[in-house]
Amino acid sequence: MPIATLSALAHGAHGAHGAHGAHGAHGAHGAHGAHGAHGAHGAHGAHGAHGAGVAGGSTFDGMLTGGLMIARDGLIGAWTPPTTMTPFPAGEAANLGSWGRPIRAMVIAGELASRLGYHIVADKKAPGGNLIAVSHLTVGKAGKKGIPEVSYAPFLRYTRPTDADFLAQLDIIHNYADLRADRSAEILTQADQTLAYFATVAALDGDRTKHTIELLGAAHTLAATVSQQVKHVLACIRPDRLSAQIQPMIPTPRHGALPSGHATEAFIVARVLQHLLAPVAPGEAGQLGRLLMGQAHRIATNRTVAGVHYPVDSLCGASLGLALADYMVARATKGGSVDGVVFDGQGIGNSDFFVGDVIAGDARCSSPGGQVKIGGDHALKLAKADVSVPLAWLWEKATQEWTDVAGAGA
Amino acid sequence: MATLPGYAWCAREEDHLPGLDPVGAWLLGDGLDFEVAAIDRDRDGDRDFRTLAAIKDDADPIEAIRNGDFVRVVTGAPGASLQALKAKLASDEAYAGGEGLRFFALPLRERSFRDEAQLKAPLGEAEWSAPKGLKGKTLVVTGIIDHGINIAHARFRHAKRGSRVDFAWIQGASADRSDEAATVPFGREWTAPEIEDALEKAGGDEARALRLLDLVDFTRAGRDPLSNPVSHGTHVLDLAAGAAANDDEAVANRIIAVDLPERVIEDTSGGLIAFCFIQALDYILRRARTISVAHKKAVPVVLNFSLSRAGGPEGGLHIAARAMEALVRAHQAEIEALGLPVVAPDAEGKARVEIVLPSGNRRQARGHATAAAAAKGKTTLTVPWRVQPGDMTSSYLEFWLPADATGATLKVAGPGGAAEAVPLALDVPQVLEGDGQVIAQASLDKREGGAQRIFIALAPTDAGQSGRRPAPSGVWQVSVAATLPSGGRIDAHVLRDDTALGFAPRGRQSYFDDPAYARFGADGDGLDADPAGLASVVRRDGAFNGLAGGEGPVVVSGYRVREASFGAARVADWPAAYAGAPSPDSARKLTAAAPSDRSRVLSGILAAGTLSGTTVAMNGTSVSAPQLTRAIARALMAGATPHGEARWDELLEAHDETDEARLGRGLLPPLTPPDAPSIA
Repeated sequence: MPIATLSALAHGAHGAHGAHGAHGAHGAHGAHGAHGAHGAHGAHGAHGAHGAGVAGGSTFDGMLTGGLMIARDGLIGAWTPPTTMTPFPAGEAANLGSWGRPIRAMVIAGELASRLGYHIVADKKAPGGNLIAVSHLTVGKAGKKGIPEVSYAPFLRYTRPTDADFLAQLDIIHNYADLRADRSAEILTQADQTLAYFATVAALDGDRTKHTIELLGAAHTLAATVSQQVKHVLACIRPDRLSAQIQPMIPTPRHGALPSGHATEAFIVARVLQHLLAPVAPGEAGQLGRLLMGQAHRIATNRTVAGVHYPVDSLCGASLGLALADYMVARATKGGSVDGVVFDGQGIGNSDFFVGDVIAGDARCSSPGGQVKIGGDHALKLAKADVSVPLAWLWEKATQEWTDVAGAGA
Repeated sequence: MATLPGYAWCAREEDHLPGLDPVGAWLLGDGLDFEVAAIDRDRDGDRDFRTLAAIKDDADPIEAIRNGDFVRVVTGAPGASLQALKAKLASDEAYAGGEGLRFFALPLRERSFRDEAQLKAPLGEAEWSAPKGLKGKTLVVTGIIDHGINIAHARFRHAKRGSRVDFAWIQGASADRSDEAATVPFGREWTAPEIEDALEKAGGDEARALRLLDLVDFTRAGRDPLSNPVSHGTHVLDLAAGAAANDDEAVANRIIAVDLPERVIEDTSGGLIAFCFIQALDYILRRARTISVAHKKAVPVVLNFSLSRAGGPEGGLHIAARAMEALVRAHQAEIEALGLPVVAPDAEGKARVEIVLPSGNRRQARGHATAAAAAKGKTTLTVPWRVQPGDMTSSYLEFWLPADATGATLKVAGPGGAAEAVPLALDVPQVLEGDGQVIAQASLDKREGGAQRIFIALAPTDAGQSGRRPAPSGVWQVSVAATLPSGGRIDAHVLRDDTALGFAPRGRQSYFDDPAYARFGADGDGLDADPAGLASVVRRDGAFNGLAGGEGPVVVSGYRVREASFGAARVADWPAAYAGAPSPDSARKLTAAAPSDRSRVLSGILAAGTLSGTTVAMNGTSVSAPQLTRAIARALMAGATPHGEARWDELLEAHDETDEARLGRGLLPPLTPPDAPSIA
């Protein structure tokens, strides 16, 4: 049932797009989605939290509206206006419970995105001439008129691989094509949304764990938002443009190759779940985390099998997704230190991507080839003030969904 | 009258290397372009399949290959032709252009060996120390030669005593170039402690362990069968020797495995198998001696080889079949020289080696035709050989004649052509050429134990990106005539040309398209047996594993479990329709039948998938053989020492209506949990 439920949720998410038609960005995603290719569209799969058509009024039909008008006329009697009211307290996180899920998603997406800044850095040594820096916006005390003093702290720095690296990586894509028949069911069902593949590992359920799924939706949106900025700046050409023999088995998405959006999204989801569920995970220590990361790795690798991504795209996306997960969890809980990433794809050559390159057990790590370096001068120290109140509200709700299992709170 | 309009047969006297196996001669010679177009190469131009090993013409090839006793090893540049290799030899005065030498094509990638010296070096010494938990148990070695064996699989490992795979030779692996003292002449060897080490380093991530063991690596060209959910070798070895992790008895069942290179498997004709198989068999017996010496007893070996060859020759004359006999004898002599006490000796008191082979899967493939010796004058066998369109690999047809047949002639008519005599001279191939484009080759040789073979190689009917002209698809009428000794036969076999499990689909199988052949009976059901009084030369009987003709091996056919479990069911429904059986007048008989399918509709037998914890179905006599391998190993571990042809009858269920020709001496009961997943 979970898969069917989540599938329904995913479709529900598509329905929700209609309701947000006025929201330009969503409209654009909808157009993208029509191609069945992935992209930021995938982020909306995780918006499954928005609910399977319960959005209440996502559809209005004329007959019902007419009926409701006639029923009112027959029902209300003479107008007797109320004289008192109990208002919502302004600025209270608890109000989020009264808003619709798509609305909470926008609030939280805004909370997360508003603290990240993107800067194109000209660098003659960087392939393509530019790299991208992503910084955390540190917000000080409110000054006059409520406007705070702000400053940026370095968090992520991404440089693309060389042309020779991409050419060498192309061989690996060709070699992986052997697995296309074996992996086709996974590849096709993962093109749009991957949540079902984590739901089976972590026992997610569209009803019982709806806030957890909503939290993963927020993570997904964050991953898609940031990865598209990095993709746009680094502008890495897709494999099918380098060789007419690659012939991907699914349409190549219309954005840059590196980092892989699927890898970024899969690893942020795996990592957020690892953080959320570590205290209550049953069975062998570390098994749940290993399987979550293994699934993320498989989802990322399937994009290479399909012929739309280089392995280095996955390495890059995994490093980004894991860093963003730690960042999001810190901003959902109590701040603290978060290791950022300096990624420089140069010299990757014909190295393949393995999950152990970016995470060992529950600790993120720098990759053996040196392309991913974590921490150092890109480590953030997040303060209490960096905690997002709406995000913390959702985190708490999600946490409460897991208190019923054996070992909870132990 | 021409075989094909615009084409003529002419002798390839110049550009011919004497002694080369006909498949090798075609693949390295006129068929090379087609192959080169299809071979995946690494960016640095890894020279795949460009190496010939030469031995002296008068040397025993089995001994020479076994001992790495090569006069010369020649490796050509990428895409090098037979002509180029011959030129390279001719420039070397010591070898006089290859005169007096015989050649074997090495189906290896260049990365699999360091240099000529490594190929010629004898097998390195190995160490073995007994695991704990053997007290009071009889040790047995299960040997396996296969492709795609997950040597780190949980079914080959005891939870406390570790891996039971004491030695594994991955012949197609990259050679460890950092290691000057390679223990094998090519590829890579792993030992139980190394497998355990990899598993520990991988920390429970089996896919990572496979990478550490160099069994999966997508950064290099070539296939990694262990990246697929089903792998032939893993499934077969599970049936042969898989056990639960807490099975203390199984600790005494030690495993020595050889994984053959991908080219040997991908070329389903079996034409490239001899070199690697001989080395593999020798390796397993040598390492079994290593164990025997350390154990201070000659340990019995049960060896499973679940591969078959579609063609002949009969009577165990194929070099691989002869090697089985020769190497077992050599092993027994070495054991005797070591003076070790023999566990479960054979009838002559010598070390026991049981080789278990499948009977083949081509009974319904319409790939075998036969003609018995005519009462007087010449005997003629004419076959309508249908070659499919869209076949991207070469097709092969071979005729086998007795050694003392005389006056053999060959006539070939291509689609739209007329029957034309092709002149035959021993070891000088003829090629069918038009406008400088060769599309076929015909040859006569006696290299397999003296039996005469007329061999025809036909270019692919889809030449792909090779730039070469393809052969026309359709029916090729091929006719062989000779004066036969009384009781002799001419047998024609189409070699296998379809795609092996897990490989990209390129080959399309050719077959004999004889209108007189009956595929279906009057009730519309497929016929399992050749009807009496059949006018067709095409015969199901005799479509038999060409490697299994020797007297020594145990040969296993396949049966359907469900049909055989109901006494009332027709006996004709018991054997798997595809399971091969020898010709009725052949001296070789089947030993037994073991399950190959759960039922007529439920194909295959369940056993291990590639990764631990997975179960998959695979069918064919490939899965039948290892079940008997397992039963024999278990019997030896329990102290059995039977002799003679009937020695394994005790393991079999006899039945009232035995179709002995197709089921052998009896049926091996299906495995039950925990030896195998339930098939209920």
